[in-house]
Amino acid sequence: MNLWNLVWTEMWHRKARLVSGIMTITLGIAVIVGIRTVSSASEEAVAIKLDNLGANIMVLPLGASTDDYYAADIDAPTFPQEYVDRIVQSALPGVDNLSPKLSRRVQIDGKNIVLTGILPASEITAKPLWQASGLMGNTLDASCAPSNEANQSLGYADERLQRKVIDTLREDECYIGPLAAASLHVRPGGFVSIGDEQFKVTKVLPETGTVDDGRIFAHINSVQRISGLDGQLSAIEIMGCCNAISDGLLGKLRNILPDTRITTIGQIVSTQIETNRLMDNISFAFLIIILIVGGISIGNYTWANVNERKREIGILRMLGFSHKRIYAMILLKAIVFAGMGGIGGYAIGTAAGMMLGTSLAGLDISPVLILLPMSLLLASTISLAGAALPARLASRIEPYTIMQED
Amino acid sequence: MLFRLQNVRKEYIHQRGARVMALDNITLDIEQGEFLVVTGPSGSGKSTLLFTIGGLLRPSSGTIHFGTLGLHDADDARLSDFRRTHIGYVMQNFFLVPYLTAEENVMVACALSEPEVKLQREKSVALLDRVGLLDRRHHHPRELSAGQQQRVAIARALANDPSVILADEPTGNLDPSLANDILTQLRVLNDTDGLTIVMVTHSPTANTFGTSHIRLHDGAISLTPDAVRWTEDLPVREVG
Ligand SMILES: Nc1ncnc2c1ncn2[C@@H]1O[C@H](COP(=O)(O)OP(=O)(O)O)[C@@H](O)[C@H]1O
Ligand SMILES: [Mg+2]
Repeated sequence: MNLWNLVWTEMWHRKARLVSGIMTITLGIAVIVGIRTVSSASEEAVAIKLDNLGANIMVLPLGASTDDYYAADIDAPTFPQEYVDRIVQSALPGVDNLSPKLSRRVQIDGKNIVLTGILPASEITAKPLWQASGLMGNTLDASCAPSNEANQSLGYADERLQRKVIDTLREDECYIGPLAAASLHVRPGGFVSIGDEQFKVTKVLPETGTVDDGRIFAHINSVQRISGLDGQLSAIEIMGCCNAISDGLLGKLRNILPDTRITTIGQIVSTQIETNRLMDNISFAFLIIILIVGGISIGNYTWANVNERKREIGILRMLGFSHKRIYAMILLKAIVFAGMGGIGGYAIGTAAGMMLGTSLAGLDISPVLILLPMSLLLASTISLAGAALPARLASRIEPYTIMQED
Repeated sequence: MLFRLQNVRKEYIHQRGARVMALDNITLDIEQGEFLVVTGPSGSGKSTLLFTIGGLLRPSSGTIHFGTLGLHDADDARLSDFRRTHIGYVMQNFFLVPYLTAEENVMVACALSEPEVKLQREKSVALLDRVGLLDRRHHHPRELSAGQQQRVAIARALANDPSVILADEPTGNLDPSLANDILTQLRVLNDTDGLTIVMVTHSPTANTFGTSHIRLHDGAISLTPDAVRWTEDLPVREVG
């Protein structure tokens, strides 16, 4: 029989109260954990998008919708391929890399697939004009960012998240996203026929979790040919230097290409970032509420519990329990509550976040482990703050006052 | 002597501001091995005296010494320690913890001086055996009769090998035959184990179990132990 056994035994002796006692704190923490679980999945989704985009400036035709960065180039009107040359010739500082694209929706075996034409890296660097500009040999790391280290620390180690640069691609070859490969039942080495042409599947790309998974990537010349859009592009992706962007690179690009729409990734994912910020604010507001309401509820419970236990507290005092020990006993119970409320709230919140986030927001949500210690910390703070005063009063209960009532 | 009370007063201040002098200038020595019986009408200050001696209540004025320890000005930690090591309480209403078994009730008291659960249990079992409740050790207080509950309380009072038992109307809630049983147990503790016992009682026959007797009236001693060491043939003498 130690303090711990005593607290534990007493707690189960009054089970019904136990449930109501930890209800508020559990639910409060569940709400916060739920919100945080969803929003961190959402933040991660933004991060993946940012990273997958590879490019941070997108040149689109005027009529293109930018609701979804990935889909922005699909079915958009087109503009002439010379625009690429114009950018290169202007030798704007801060343009590190660029990649022209043409995306069209095509029917393959009765299925709707997005076909994206790209220019493989080897051909980009081979273009005499571009080579002369000294532009293409550079990588983002070398030319743009403040330092390599800083860049690495921002990078995503998970290679799944990195858009692969396609080095070489012949005009009768294609790369295929995993979803597209699955729906068309093709493997590397197999063939797909698009329009009148046959393409050899050189590679099935690793899964990225984006619309890229459902695309087929072929040489831009082939896509232009198939779609009858010779010399046309639907987008130019530009890797721009962050500093240059803030120094007005966008404005300069707009001067060069007046009849296009030029956006940065920030503008496109900003809606989602907005939502995340809102969720942050909600969970912060909730944190304040739960601190107050949870604290009051624990305090209330503890006070009722102490009153109910006056007699036994008197007994323990009689046996030689000091004020301090009684105080510790009540607080220990508050900590046990915190443990239960913290773990329970984390479990419920995570489960709810995963269910709601998946069904409502369509996010791929996994438990956020760091929230567990945070839940416990929060629950302990609430619980101890709430129980401190009742515990103090409990420790002042004297046997002789109790005996008098008997 | 074991306890020395000098001019002890205890004044309670009621909520409405009324003052009650529960102990009024008590001067009293209690010897090692004494079995002191305290009688007196209800409200005369008997329980207050017991709590004051037991380190649960500080007097408003006066001094109480247990050996060299001044109970009147010791802090809470000191007094708690004193209660744990020297005092065993037996109360009219038993004061067992309702959600603990007989065995655990005794163990709680042991726990303050013996951290090892196994040893606590051994001690508890031995004590319950001594009061004849070994077979009831897993029962909760509500499953025990009044007499059995009081025996658990006696076992608990002995948990820390105290030198003093303070009993406040220990037989007040018991049938006469059970009462006799409890009194006999206390008698044995005094006789064979040499424990000092202070027992408050209403029972007319309870007097016969003590070695000395005082009577309280309005918080004052109306018969000092020095004046009369209580025996069967020496009648209680009212003073003042
Ligand atoms: N905790 C208390 N608060 C106020 N008055 C008390 C308290 N305890 C006892 N008293 C008063 O002190 C007097 C003595 O009480 P008590 O020691 O319990 O007497 P007894 O045990 O002889 O019946 C009574 O008048 C009682 O009302
Ligand atoms: Mg009394």
